Order: sequence, then C-alpha cells, then structure tokens
Amino acid sequence: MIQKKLVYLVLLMITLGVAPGASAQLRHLSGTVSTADGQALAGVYLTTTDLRSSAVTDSLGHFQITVPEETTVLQVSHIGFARKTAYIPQDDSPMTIYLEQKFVSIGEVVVSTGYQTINRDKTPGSYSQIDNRLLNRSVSTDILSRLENITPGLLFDRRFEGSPSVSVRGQSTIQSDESPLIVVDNFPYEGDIDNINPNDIESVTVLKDAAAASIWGVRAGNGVIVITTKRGRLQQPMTIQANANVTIGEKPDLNYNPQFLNSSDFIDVEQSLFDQDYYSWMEGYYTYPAMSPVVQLLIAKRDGLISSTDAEAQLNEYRSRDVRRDFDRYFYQTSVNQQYSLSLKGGGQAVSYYLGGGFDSNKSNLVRNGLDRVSVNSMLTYHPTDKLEVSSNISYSYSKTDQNNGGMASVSSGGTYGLYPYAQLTDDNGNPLAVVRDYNTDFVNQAEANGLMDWSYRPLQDLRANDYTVTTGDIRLNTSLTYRLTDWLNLEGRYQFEHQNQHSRHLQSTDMYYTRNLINKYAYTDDDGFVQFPIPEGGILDNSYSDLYAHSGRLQVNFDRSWNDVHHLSVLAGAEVRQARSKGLSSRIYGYNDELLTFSSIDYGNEYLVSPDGYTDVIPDGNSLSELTDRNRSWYGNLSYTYRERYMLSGSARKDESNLFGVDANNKGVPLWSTGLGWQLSSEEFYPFKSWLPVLKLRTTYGYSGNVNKSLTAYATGYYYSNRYTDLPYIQILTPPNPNLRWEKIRIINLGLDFASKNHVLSGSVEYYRKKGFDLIGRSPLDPTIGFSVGGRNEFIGNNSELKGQGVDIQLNLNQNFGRINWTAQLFYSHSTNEITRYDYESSTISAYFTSVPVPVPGNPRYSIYSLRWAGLDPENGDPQIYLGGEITKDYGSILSNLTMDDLICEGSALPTSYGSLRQNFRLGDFAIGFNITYKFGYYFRRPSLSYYALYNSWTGHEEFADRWMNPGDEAVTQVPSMPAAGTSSTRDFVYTFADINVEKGDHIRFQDINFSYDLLHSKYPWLPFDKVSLYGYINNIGIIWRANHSGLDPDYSFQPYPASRTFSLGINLTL
Amino acid sequence: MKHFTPLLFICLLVLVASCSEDFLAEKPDKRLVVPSTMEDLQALNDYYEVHNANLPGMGELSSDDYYILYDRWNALSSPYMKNGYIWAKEIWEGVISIDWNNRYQQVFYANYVLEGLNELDRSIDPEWYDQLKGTALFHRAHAFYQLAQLFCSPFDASSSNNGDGLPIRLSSDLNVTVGRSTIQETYDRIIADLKKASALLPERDSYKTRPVKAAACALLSRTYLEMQDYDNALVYADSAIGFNYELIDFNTLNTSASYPMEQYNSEVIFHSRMTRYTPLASSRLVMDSTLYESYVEDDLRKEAWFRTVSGNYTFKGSYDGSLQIFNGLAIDECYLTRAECLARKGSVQEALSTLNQLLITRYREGTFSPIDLTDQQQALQTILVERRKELLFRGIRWADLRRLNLDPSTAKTLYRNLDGTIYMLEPNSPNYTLPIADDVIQLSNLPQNIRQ
Repeated sequence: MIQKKLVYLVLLMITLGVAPGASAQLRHLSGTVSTADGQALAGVYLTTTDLRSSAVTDSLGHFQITVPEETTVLQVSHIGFARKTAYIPQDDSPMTIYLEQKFVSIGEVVVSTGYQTINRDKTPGSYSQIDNRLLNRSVSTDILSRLENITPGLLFDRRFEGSPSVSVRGQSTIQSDESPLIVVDNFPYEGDIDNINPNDIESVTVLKDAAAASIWGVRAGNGVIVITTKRGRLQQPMTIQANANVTIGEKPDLNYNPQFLNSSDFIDVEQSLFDQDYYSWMEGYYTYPAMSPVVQLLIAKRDGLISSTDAEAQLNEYRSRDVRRDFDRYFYQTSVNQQYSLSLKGGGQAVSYYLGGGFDSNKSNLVRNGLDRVSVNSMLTYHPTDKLEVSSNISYSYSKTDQNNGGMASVSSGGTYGLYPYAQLTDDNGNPLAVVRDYNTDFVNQAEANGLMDWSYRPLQDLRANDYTVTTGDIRLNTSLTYRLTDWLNLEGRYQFEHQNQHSRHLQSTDMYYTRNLINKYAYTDDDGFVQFPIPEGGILDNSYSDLYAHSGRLQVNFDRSWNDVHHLSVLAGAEVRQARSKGLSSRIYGYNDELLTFSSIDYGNEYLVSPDGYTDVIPDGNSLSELTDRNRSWYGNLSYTYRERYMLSGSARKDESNLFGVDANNKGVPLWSTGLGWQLSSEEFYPFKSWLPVLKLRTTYGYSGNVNKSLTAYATGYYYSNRYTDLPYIQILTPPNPNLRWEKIRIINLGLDFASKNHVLSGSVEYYRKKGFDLIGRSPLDPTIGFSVGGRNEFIGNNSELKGQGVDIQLNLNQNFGRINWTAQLFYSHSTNEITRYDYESSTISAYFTSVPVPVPGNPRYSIYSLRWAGLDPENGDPQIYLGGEITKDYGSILSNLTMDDLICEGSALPTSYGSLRQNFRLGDFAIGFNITYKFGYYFRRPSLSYYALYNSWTGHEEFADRWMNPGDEAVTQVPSMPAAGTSSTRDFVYTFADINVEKGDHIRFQDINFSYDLLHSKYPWLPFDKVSLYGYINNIGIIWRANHSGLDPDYSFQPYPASRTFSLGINLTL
Repeated sequence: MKHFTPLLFICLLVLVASCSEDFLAEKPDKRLVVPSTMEDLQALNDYYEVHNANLPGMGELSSDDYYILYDRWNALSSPYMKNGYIWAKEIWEGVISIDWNNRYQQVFYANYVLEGLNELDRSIDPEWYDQLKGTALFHRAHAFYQLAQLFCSPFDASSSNNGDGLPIRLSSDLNVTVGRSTIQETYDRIIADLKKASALLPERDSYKTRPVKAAACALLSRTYLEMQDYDNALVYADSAIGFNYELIDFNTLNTSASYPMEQYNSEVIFHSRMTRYTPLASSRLVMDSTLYESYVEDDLRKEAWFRTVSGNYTFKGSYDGSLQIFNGLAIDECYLTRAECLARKGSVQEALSTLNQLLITRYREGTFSPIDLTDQQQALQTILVERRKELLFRGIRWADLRRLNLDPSTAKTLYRNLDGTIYMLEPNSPNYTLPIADDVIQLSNLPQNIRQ
C-alpha cells in the first residue's frame, strides 16, 4: 500500500516536472454528479490533482473529461458542497459522484488569513467565514455593512452619525484606533473601504483570536477582516453574471426625535421670558444679536408699533406652524439606490480571469445628497510554466458624493441657537423665505440700503445653491509571483500599489448665506463714503485634495508536506515592507466666478474691522498642507502541524518595526507570537458518540497581537509659532521624547468547541475568550518637576493603561427537511464585556464623565454610562434634586465642585454586552425566504431630556415639557422639573439630565430583515436564454419587536436624530 | 532558472532585511519638528511664555510692601492665594503650584537645548553655538534661583546649608527622577551655570528677552547677595554696571501716564515678568502707607509709580510698561547691591556715592541733596531702605526679607490684619519656605518642607 502510494507520488512529481504538452497516454472519462438524494448538479467543477485537466457538469449533471493515463482521482468541488476526491474506476465506466451539502460552520471551509489559505478544520484558531452566498443575502452599496448580524463577535456601533464603527469581540484599546484591520487581497487596505464594490467580493474571513490574527502583528489587536475578491479558475468555461437591483428607503420620521417643543408651548416660554426682561439686553446691543420673530413681535407690541389684536393674530398664526413639516417637504425624500454589476470569469489551459464592472447610483434621504460610483476590477492569473504562477489584479473605482444637505440639524439661527419651531422655510408659493440668523431682522433689512449685500438667510435657497462634492478615485495594482520549487515548497513574492485621490470641492456662491455674511462682515465704508469690500463680491471656493500612496511588498516561503499519511506540516516565513504616504492640500479662493473661472486676490496681511461684532481680524485664508508617512517593516512566520488529522499544533510569530517608534524601540521590540492546540476528539478510536455526534473538536489558543497609535512618536516633537510680543519664532514642544514608546499589546486566550450531529442536522461552535490589553496608550499624570507640560497640563500620554475583557461566541446551525421544505436556522449569541484595569488619570471636572465618551475609570467598562442619584422634585417648587454624599441637595451653585466620583453611579456599559441574531431560511424548490431577528442586551443609554437652559439659550426643547411640574403634588406623577426663572443656573438642568431616572436599558429585539429569492434554472425552463435567473427581494430595518425602554426610542441610535430608515430592495441576477 | 530563482529570492530577502535605518527614520508627520538644528534650539530658547513670562509671584504675594482689604481677600477664589497671604501652614489645599510647574518647565526646555547642542558641531558657528548654550544655562539657573527663594530655606552663610534644596534636574528625559539636593548644592549649581553662561553669552542682543553677559553678571550678583557673599556680589554688580546700562532720568518721564515706565527701557538688562496673582492686581493691592509716605515729595517715583484707587495708593511703576509686573534684571538693582556690599565692607563713602548716583536720577531736577553719612550701620540701613523703595514689586522683596532676617539687626516681623484678625510672620519662621504642592509630593515622593 505504502509502496503504491510512493509510486504515485513519484509519478506525480514526474508529471509536475515535465513541461506541458509532453506526450502521455490519455483516458476519456464521463459521468454525472448529483446530490446525495439524486438531484443532478450543474456547474460542478472537476479537475485532476495537478489542475491540468478539468471539466464542468452541464445542466443535467453530466461531465466529460480527458485525463492522463496514470490519473487515479478527480477532485470535485462545487459551491455549497463538500469537496470530494473521486476515484477513477479501472474500466473507464461512467462515474456517478455524489456530493454532500456543505454546512456553514463545519465541513471543509477554506479561510484566508491574508498570508495563506487554510482549511479551518485543521487549525485551532478562531475564524469566521462569510461566503459569497451569505454576503449576497443583503443588498448594500458597501461591503462592511453586509457583515452585520451574520457574524458572531462582530458589533456595529451606530450610536453616532456617520459610518458605524465596527468592533470584533469588544474593545481592546482605550484611546487608540479601535477599528479592526481590513485586508483586501492579502494587503491592508489603506483607502476608504467604501470604494469597494461588494459584487466583486468572493468571501470574507474574520480573524478573531490570537492564533488567527497575530500573523498581522501590531495591527491585529482589534481583530482582522480579510476580504478576498473574485477570481477565475483554470479550465472553467466563461460565466457571465449580471446583477441589478434597486433599493427604496423610507423618508425618515422627523417626529421621532423627542427633543422638539411645539410652537405653541415654545411661544409661551418666549412670552414668559420676555415678561422677565430676558431679552431686553439685546435691544440696541451693538452686535445686533438674533432675536426670534416672536420676541421681535412682542417688542413691537410693547412699543406700540403693532396693535395687540394684530400681534395676537400673528402669534396665533405662529402657533399653528411646525417647521418639521417644511423640512419633511423640502429637505427629505425617499431614497433610491440603484446598483448594477456585470462580471465574467473563466479560465483556459494557462490563464484564468475575472473581469467585473459595477455602477452604483444612490439618491440619499436628504435632498441633493447622493453617491455615484463606478468600479472596475480585473484579475488575471497566468501559468507560463507549471511551476510558475503570475497574477495581476487591477482595481479602479471612482465615486462622487454630493453633500449639499446637512439635514434639519444644520439649519440654525446662528450662535448658540437652533431653529425656532415656528420657522417657515417657504411662502405659500414655495419660494424660499428667510429665517432669523445671527442678527436681528431690522439690522438685516438695513443691509442693502447701506450698500451691503443682502444679509438674510434662506435655508432652502442655501440648499438649492450649495455645491459640495467629494470625488474619490482609487486604483490598486496587485501582482504576485509564485514559484513552485517542489510540490511541497514554493516561493512567492507580492507587491501592491494603491493610490487614492480625494478631492473635496465646496463652492458657496453669493446665493449662500455663508458667503454674503462673510463679505458683509468685512465690508467697511471708506473716508469718501464708499462701501469697500475687502472680501470681493463673488463665490467662495474651498478645495481640498488628499493623495494617498501606499506601497507594500512581501516575500514568502511556503512549505507544505505530508508524511506517511499521518503527519502534515505547513510552514511559512516571510518579510514585508510597507509605506503609506498621504499628502493633503487645502485652499480657498475668494471672488470666484464659476462661469469664467476668475477669482480675486486678497490682502491676507491686513487686519479689518469685523462688523457688527467690532473686533479686528485678518481674512481667513483657508490654506493648509500636510504630509504623513507611515513606514513599516516586518518579519513573520507561521507553522501548523497535524497528526493523523486529529491533533493540531500551530504557532506564529511576527516582529514589526515602524517609523513611529524610533530606533531604540524597534531594536528592543519583542516579536508578537501565538500558539494553539486542537484535538479532533471525534476521530479517536475510543470516541463513543460517533453515531449521534460524529464531529467533536476541541481547540485552544494563546497569544499576543498589537495595536499602534499613530498620534505619538518616540521623539520630542513640536510646532513653530510666532510670539506676539517679540515676533520671534519659537517652538512649543507638544510631545515629549519617549524612547520607551511601543505598540499596545493584547493577549488573548481562546477556548473553542466545534460539533456536528449526524447528517449535520445540528452543528455549531462555542468559544470562550479572555483578553487583556496592556501597554495601552493612555493619559497619566506627570510629576510637574519633570517639566513637560502642554497647555498647563502635566500629563504624559504613553503605554501606561490596561484593560481586560472576556466573552463567549456561540453559533448553532440547524438544517432540517420537512417534506420538500428545507429549513435552516442559525443562532448567534455573543457575550462580551470589558473593564479598565489601569488608568492613571482622573478628570478634575466631573462633567468629563457625562460626555458621550467618558474618561476611563478603572473597574468600569471602557464605554460606561454614569448617572447621579435622583432625589425627586422639590414638592415646593418642582426643583430637581439629587443625592450628594448621602444627602438630598439642590444647591446648584456648589454641586459641580462638590461632586466626587463616589457620587456617580456607573449604570453599566453603553455598548451591548450580549447580542446576536436568529436567522432562518426556508427553501421550497426554487423559492427561498429568510428572516433575521437580532437582539442586543445588557447595556444602557441616556434618554434625551428637557433642559431649560438649552430651551432658553439654544431653543432646543423636549416633548416632555408638557409633563413638567406645575403645581405642588405634581412631583407624585412627574419627574420633569418645573420651569425656572430666566437666568437660573444650568446646573439645575445638569442634575436632571444626568440623573439615574434618565438612564434606560438598551435591551431590545429587532426584526432586522427579510430576504426572498426565486431561481429560474435553464435546466428546468429550457426556453430561458440564461443558465440561471434569480429574482430577489430584501427588506431591511423592519422594526423593533420588543424594547426595554419606555420612551419608544431606538437605543442603537442614541445620539442620532432618527434611526436608519426601512428599505425595500428588488433585484435580478442573471447567469450566462 | 531552477537554481537562480531561490537565489534571487534570498537576495531580495537580504535586501529587505538590510534596508538601512533611514527607511524607518522618516518623520511620520512632515509638519512636526523634531527640534535639532541651531534654528530650532534658538526657537526653544526664545519661547517667551516659558522663559520670560509667568515667573513666580508667591513671594511677592507674601511680602510686606502692600496689603489687601478683607473683602478682597475673602473673595479670592484660590486657596493658595488666601493662605499665602496670611502665611498659613497649609498653602495648596490640593491645588497645583504654577510657580513650581512653570519653572520646571523652563528647566525642561533648557535641558532639552543643552542636550540638543551636544549633538551639534560647535565649529559650524561657534558664536551662535555659545550663545545658545549660554542662554540655556542662564535660563536653567534663573529657574533654580527663582524656585530656591520660595521652596528652600534661606541660604545662611554661617551654616552648612545641608537642608533640603531643589531637585536639580539636568536632563529632559521623562524617566529620570531626581531627589532633593542640599541648599548648598542648589546654589552651587546656580553659580556654576551662571559663570559658564557669562563666559558664553554675547555682550548685546537686539532683544531684551534674551540674556546677555550683563544679565548673567546681574543674576550672579543677586545670587551671591542672597548667599551673603558680599565680595562676589560686589564683583558681579560692578561687572554688570560696566556694561553701560543707563539710569533713567525720571525728569524725562511723563509721570502722570498710566504706566510711565517703558518696556525694555534703558535700565532693563533682561526682561521677564511674574504671574500676577489676584491680590497683586493694581486695582486690589493697597500700598503699605508708611512705605508710601517714605517717598519725599520731590522724589519723582512718588507720582510716577503710584496712583489712587478709591482713596488708596496702588502701584503703576512696572518696568513692563503695563499692568504686568516686571521682575527681570535691571541696572538700578546692581547700583543698590553695589552700595550695600561696599557699605558692609566698610567703604561707606563709596557706597553712598553709588547710592547717590542712582537717587539723583529719581529726584526732581535740582532738588536732590546727596546723602552724606559716616556711620557704617546707619549708611547700611539707609541703603536697605532705599533698596526696598527702588525695587518695589520686582520680585526681590521676599528674598531680601529672608536674607535680612538672618541678621537680628535687620530682621523684621510681618503682620497682616484681616478684619481684626492679626496674622504674624516672625523672622526666620519656617513659613518663609513654601510647602511643595500636594500633587508633586504624591507623584515624586520628595521630602516636604516643614511649616508651622
């Protein structure tokens, strides 16, 4: 037996050694491929082990293949099915090959680490693989959001506006970058990940523990997401795929945000403040401060300029208005995203190829905002000899984003003010109307008479005139060369160049308030009585360019060999060099004419009197330059050994050097390493449960990964300034010399268990991990005697903080047939907690613990929610009260200085500590429908509440104003403080806002999405001109099923004005 | 090919591994300076806010040339100002001492420059190199001098001076910790640095914010005087006077101006100003009336330096020409030091002639009659009185009090009266030495000064 194998091995080596075309006897084989229950499989790929002959089954599952005489086996693979090795019968009789369906968690899952592709079953590391089918379950413009809710341990934090931040298994750092490393086709992606067209992606692997990630060294501490793009295979007929879909998103509900006070109540508040002379200082004040229309009306009424009846009528008209209606009509719309893609892939004898093109056109929920993106991706692999593989990948994407609309929150009356609720954006004919901004209306109305430009602010005119676009071009060239020395040893070299170019262009014509305001502010009347405009009448054009150039090169040796059918050893070692350089340039042009491209020159040196504020200032020049360089050099190695496919051992090490650290740290640096053990218990002879639990695997890993904080360097650095007394240039040292600066280190211990029941009806994995981050970057107080301080703060930012975390990731898969219906279900449960274990800095101002990202406190989670202990409303007058040092207090003058950490309640984590999803899929023939229900538990958020200070000074109200304390006894039914006199300390609002009654549990269950698809196969409908037509639909953000909070709020969007809109997608996918 | 490929590969690997260190020496942010050239070090020496502003004001706050009314005192927001004013045992109450912090920041910058110079080749521009080095040494000595007057017991020429001195930091390395030296070592360091500086500094510079030779001499003279080494104090006062800084004839001043003294005037050798703590604001401080009355009518300083605020006299004579308090080095101080040293050595006539040289410029033209005394003690007392009157609010009085208290014949007990409560500071009281701020003690474990 062994001898025979040896012969085969020798034969194989000889085969590999000879050049293509060498004469050999050929055998012609044929057969069919079907599922275990006899269903024919089309498109199945069959190949010889040397990949030199291959075939694909037709719609009836038939194949024909010609192979060299000595061939004994065929490799059979098909997406969604377990790879199979089929033995060729001696007599060339037709083969019948049955494939078994592959299950997501178990079975032969090949994962990519960015350095190698490995069989997940043969490694003890923790990997999550998201295959193409799962990626295409949802519809989106970007790739990252498709990973949400389908991967255990991955959490998307959408509390703040903008792109969500992604974390893998919770926080590993305190104040450095928290985002996981994103690798695209073997190299870290330096550009904006939104450049990537998700239709070009084949699969995504998430590296979660040290054994999986530590090959990425100092950038792996936050986890690694490895994205692999599509490629063709040798000997594969060309397939063409076209995909088109459209996604409609509902208009956001502007009434969702409770921080709005209706016009009528708002006017009552203004009336009351007016009666208290709150606004009287503004009258005749030299800066002509903005006053709301109601206040101006009340003044006119008081001064007898308007009759009581007329004033009352006008007030009543104001009372009936709601500015949200205007915003809803003119600023928001139904979003429409269109996505098209076309790709072809295939391969011949020596060349395989993939070519993909995509076009996205998005119309945002915000009127005049949107995105257009074009992307092209090509991947060619060429085998000039059978030992050499050369591949080259060129990706290009270009996008143009319109950012003309900042939404309702961007429209304000200037200064500290928001917008009064009775503002009117248009007249009855839909023409833009002015709202109060920065100055009072009388002042604004005089402007033109005084020879100035129109000084009024019309939000809708601004929206229509705004011209703000950001274009991004990204080109990525990736080449690799692999040379096979023997069948167990190869050398590979890779090089990637990436250039991302971003240009943001913001033209604000004189139709826009910003421009007219700036021009008017600097205008003055000269001695001859002429109005002079130091800022010329014309548009203001802001340009900002940034270029990123990244080079990465890698050389690697791969060893992969088996002995005696029992030992398998795989080793890789390599070196890598990377440089990412980004250059930025911003400039501003005044007096710009977009028709003729003319502009004006400006005297930036001269100081002008800025009216009406009355200070002198130069004209803002808006010029800046930047250049950042990030250089790294690394050595790495990885080893994995398997014995009888039962025992697995892995180890990896990596040493990184960077230009941030300086020579000393680079020299001293200890490699980051990891090790792991795995045991396929179910393969043991003595394993007793083979019948009902045929797969059982235990694994454990231990190791370190790192994280870099680019804001620090090892050297003393400073900026040049000019002294205002002596005019001498001087340097302020901003960062101290820190020869001990080093990367943050994260130690992760992972214990895992994988299992599958008979026929894979139930399968899954359970993982437990603990992690500890040390040498984390944090602030610590510095002995002032040392003498380093910036801005009077004697503190040092260095490797002096620590954090620990632990958690569980559970995944259960169920696959069951009920008659013709196939039911699959996937349940995820992730639990992740963290605790700061060392942080030397304590804030002297207690309010630093109430911000959205509070100062870290040892013993508490990184993102905690703090509160004050509520002591109810004062029954006398409805003043809010809290407990301070065990006593009830409402001494607002001293509360802030007397509050200590002991008075703060740490409510818990601001991010979910338990989360996951239950995803189910039902398939009946060619029709499939799936649901995803997600849940998040174990966290808190602060409910927005009424602040009178904000109401009086920023015009930000809250619905709960209606529930405020008004009469003694109300304290039994409400916690909303009474309305205080004008000028009351804002601390009165502070104690209520941050009281424990306003902290709510974030726990909720959400009906995330539904997807359905209907496939039409050529094999079934021969009239179809395509192999396959898929019609699919997707509904996302369906709604919350259950929530713990009583305010009707969506806790995932706690700092956003409204949650993500529900979207409906329809699409078609053609395969030819 | 078969043999060539691996060879090529290994060559490439070696190439990567042997990439010169230059690859990793690239600055991560081009705008950032890693201060290293002479221009950079000059720019560090020229950091006005560190070297010329915010010098310690706690001494002036605690001294006896002024007082504030109870209401004003009671309204002070910072505990250390309240406590410092009444020489309380506890001063800081958990608040930081900016006097300590700012001076050690100055020491940090000076040390950084000195270390930077070690990396540079002097021969490229020896003159500039020497000025940079002299300036850094001067700044460091100036910081230590200022701190020693607050946080160390007075130097006593008749004792061994082995009480707690300052931590003498001679490195900018954040990881170096330094304990307290002795008083003797502290003063030795100041003297040594200044002597080196005086050799290295240029004779003149167009900016009075930069130290020159005369500045090093004037500060040496002041330090020796502190140490009751009158011989050396005289030597360096003479040297400073030798640099021809002209005394201002007060008859040329517009005495009714809001601030009659010009910034960078001819008497100024080195410009610096102190932190103006709230009690020292001209709107708050009230001149000691006896002191005010001691200026005769023909003394032009009486109208040039004082104005009334709600019936009380306050100070407007800062050499900064503003409400900021000048506490740099000026030539008038050197005349007074010279006079004092001569008097102490018994050269009474020479001493008085030096004093008269100064005073004649302060009097209305034609009204000054030179002081003529023969008794040494009497002459010394006169000189000390004139010293106090001339060097008002210059950050000198506190050091003088500490020094003069060592001799019972010149010792003085200070009193504060706050709404009837009398606070007293006896000569040589341990409360003449400030405690080190709590945060410093916590973070450094330095031994604390004992007060009562």
